[in-house]
Amino acid sequence: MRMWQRLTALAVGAALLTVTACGGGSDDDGDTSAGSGDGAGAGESTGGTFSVGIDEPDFLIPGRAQGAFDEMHALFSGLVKFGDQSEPQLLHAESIESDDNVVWTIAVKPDWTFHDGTPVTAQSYADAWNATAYGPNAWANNAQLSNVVGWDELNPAEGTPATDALSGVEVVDENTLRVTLKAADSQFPYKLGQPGWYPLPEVAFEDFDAFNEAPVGNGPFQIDGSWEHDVALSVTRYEDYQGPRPNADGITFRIYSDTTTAYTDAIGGAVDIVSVPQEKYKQVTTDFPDSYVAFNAIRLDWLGFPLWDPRFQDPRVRQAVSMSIDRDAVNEAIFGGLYTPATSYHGPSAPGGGTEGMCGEFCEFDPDRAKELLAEAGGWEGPMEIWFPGGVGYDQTFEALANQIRQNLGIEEVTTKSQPGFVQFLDALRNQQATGPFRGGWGSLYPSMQSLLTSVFSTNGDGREGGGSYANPEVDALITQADAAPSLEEATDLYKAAEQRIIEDFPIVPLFYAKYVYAHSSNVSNVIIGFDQVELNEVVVN
Amino acid sequence: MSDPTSAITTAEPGPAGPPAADGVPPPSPAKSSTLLGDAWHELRRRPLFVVASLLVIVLLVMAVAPQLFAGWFGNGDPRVCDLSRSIEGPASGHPFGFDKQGCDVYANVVHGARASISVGVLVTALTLVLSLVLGSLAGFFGRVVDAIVSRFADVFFGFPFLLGALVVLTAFEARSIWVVALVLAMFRWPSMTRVMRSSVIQVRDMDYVRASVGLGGGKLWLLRRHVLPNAMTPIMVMVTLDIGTVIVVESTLTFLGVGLQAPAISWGLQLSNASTDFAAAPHLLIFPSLFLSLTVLSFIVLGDLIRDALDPRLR
Repeated sequence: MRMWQRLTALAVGAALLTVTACGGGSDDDGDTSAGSGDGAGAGESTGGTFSVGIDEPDFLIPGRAQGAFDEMHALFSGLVKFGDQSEPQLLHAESIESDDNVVWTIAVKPDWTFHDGTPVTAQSYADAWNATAYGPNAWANNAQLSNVVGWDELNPAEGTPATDALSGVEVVDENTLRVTLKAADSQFPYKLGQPGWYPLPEVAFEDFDAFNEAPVGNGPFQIDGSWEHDVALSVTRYEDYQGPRPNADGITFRIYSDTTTAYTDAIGGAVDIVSVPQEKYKQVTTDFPDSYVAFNAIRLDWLGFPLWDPRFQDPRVRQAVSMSIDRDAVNEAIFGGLYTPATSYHGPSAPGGGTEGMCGEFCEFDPDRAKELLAEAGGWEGPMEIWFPGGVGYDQTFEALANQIRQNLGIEEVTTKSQPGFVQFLDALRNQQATGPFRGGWGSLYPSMQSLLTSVFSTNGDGREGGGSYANPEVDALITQADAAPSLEEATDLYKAAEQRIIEDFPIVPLFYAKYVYAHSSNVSNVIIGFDQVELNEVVVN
Repeated sequence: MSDPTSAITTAEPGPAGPPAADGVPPPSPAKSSTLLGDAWHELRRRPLFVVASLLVIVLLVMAVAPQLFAGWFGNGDPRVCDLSRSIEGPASGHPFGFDKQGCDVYANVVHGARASISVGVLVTALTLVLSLVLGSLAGFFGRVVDAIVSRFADVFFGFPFLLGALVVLTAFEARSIWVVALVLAMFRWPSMTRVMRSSVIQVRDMDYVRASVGLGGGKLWLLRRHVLPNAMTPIMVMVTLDIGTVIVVESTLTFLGVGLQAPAISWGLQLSNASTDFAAAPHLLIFPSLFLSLTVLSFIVLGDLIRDALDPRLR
């Protein structure tokens, strides 16, 4: 669900298509030290500092944080990264290999150090993974490790676990790890980009809460002082970093309680890079004519349903809602046409091809058929409430959706109900308090169909509350088979079969293939948005 | 005009008590020699008063029965929205154009009158009742009663009106017209209570009141029969002025996101929604603010004229 927050940030993109720099030319000319790099070769940095507008993170420990992607990528580095590429790029990993997709051997590059000077070793990874997977810690990214042998023992249904280490993770030597999975997974290298797979230094284990205030990471930037809650987070370049060298000397992450305020500040030049709130999509071309970036994320926005509520259990009700929404009209009126109306349960540009059209007639706008379906399902009594998180610019979007449902489905009263923020909103879903359709969205952290399908629709998914806690053993089985498939084609076919099976149950109403939209001031250039959100290392301060 | 205290301070030192005999111009017709009667005669002749009160009456009718006005151009339902016409300008049948959701702006503005005027009237009615009771008790009985009421009022007076309301309203998850009105009234009563109290104190010491005491009149009877009617003038003036102020404050709070909430239809909400797109669609900002300004202006002009009429010293 961490994705959820990043949703706000909106930007993850489609795998294959790279950055669509809808905005101007200034973004394109700065490829000098891009991506691939080993730090030394990147030439000297251009210096300077810039600021990024963020919302208040919940935690900064990677295994524990639900959002905070930009901050985390500054402070920590994982084994792989994506940037705007669709294949995992080795970052700290030297190699990631397996013969059978079950037992994986990971070699890490030597000589990397944490910001306190201690080396980053295989043990740093193993310790961090054990802490994340340890059930009683209740860290948000726990489920990212659920396919590792030993995870079940660390997360017993009740009681405390008898052990505190994953039996499937073995430290072979200082720079080598061996990971044994419960079931074969060809997508495992992709998964390693997720924050649940980041390392932690020894000092972290003394006191997690103290560490969280001023994390000692292994990333390109080290924290300057400590995290000033609700104000800012400053980082400076870590000179001993062994990865690609950042251009800037430092970054200030400014914390905003409302993304619209951040956007206004960016217009005034008070903050350099912000994610654009949805309600500003129509304005962004005028406000930032040459400096906005929309990345074609693999990201689906949808309307979820409280599947535990008897009123929503008939799939025909959900299909009726789906057919009552004129996605094109909403896209034009609210997003200025930046999004693409969704016609399936997965973004269009995953490796192996998209699944557009799989949803069929149920994703087409047809108010008459929608009313028929609703009538067949027994009609609708009373008001319908649509839930969404406030403070992140969603108000107009959900007002438009509510109007569509009300008018096209003939329901007397469809209202919107906003929660104070993402944390409260997700709590309401997790505790099954939501009483009506709600905002759902998933930006795939890595460009594989596995990310969305597993996280949202599988029984162990880390974002399953966003799908109304949908679970179906047949779907689980198909996903597991797909994970184990030897080739990408076979895997894709099986993932598609899983998606098809989910669509038959119709747990959610897919709305849009979304983008991550960012805007930046004239103070910075070469702003690249990718799966890891802002590529902070690449940003050049003018 | 969002600074409510200015209205208060100007009113406070204002008129109090019954007119001294020498200040009153000789009443022309013998029949109307009361204060209110004089005032009415005076007001009727002022064209500004006629215009302002007509506007207020129209707005009140609009608040009670918006459908009477909304349907004039054939699209009277504020909730019929066509997204494909989002932020289009005025068109036939839609004199004020469309908002971002494609709803008719004219119908929405007309329906918005109810929320704003309801809050204005509710808040002033609540504060009027509170300050009448508390102010006259404090002023008339003095001592302990006065001390308690005045100190209590001081506590609330200590909060800046807007800031206090902002903080308290944030604590409410669902904010209806009633919640907003109650919170505003909570921060509004102390100033009026003070005015009421000082005006009662003034009247209390008048000779005719003392004479009544001498004749054995009961305290509550005295208060009701002799003090209240003669002490009410300043507060009535304040009330009329206050409606306008409160309407502005309600819109301000709603604009800031802590007042009324969608799906309520209110001018504050319309302005708040318009703020994201006003560069592309200025009409979304202009029409609700036009109605808002007109309403506030009408109430304040009305209050101002009434004050002039009731204050003999200004004649």
